[in-house]
Amino acid sequence: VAILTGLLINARLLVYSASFAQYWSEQPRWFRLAAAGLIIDPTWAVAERHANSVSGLRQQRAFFLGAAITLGVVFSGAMALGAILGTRLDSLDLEIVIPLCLLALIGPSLRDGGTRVVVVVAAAVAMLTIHWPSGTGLLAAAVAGSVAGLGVDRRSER
Amino acid sequence: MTWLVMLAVGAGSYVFRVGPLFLLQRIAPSERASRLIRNAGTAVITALIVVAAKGNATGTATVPTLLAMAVAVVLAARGASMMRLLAGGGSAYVLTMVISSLISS
Repeated sequence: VAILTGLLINARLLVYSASFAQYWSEQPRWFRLAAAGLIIDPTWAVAERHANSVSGLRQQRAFFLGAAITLGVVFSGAMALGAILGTRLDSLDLEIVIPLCLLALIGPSLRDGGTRVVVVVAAAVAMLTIHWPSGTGLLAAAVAGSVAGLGVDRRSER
Repeated sequence: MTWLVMLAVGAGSYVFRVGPLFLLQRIAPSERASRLIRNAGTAVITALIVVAAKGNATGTATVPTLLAMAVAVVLAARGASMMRLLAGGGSAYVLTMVISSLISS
């Protein structure tokens, strides 16, 4: 059960990786093997936003590795600090920082009307499925959000 | 046993990340498929935000959390940086907590 739960929670990484696959099809094998280990929520949000503005294979690699290593080091450092300081941080009520930081990752895309629909639908489905077994609600929200986005695209094409 | 679970989840997580990079390399997705995948990523992060906010929004922290998120959404939509978003949302949270504790006392 623990392994299945862990894998379900990590299933969202399939989406991030599928998103990078289209940009990295020409990248060398070593890069894809190494970069795969660095794909996490913030690295996807940062690299996806700049995917079209970074041209050239070498520049793509430099941008992703630079962003991923910086974010990864700070990410791991912050986790280590939290583990060391432990319960001493409880009184600061820092849990609110988590959704705020995640919101900052998708903030710039909220300017796009289609993406706003994706966000609203995904948020509604996430609320409705919040008591579902770990990870399954995330997947349901991902499917609902992306289908809603597709609907907006089709309407705007007409 | 714990180590076994950690290794299995870690290996599975890596397979999830590396698999599409190699399996989809020869497929050129249409513009619509690319957008679908991109939207799915945004939807996943949105769901993570909702789960994290809902986890925090219990008892006396419910109203402050909702207000902090509302302020942060407005700032995010205006293109505010992460630091501004944290400052704005965090300030709204702390202020509402202080006001609600003053009212209740």
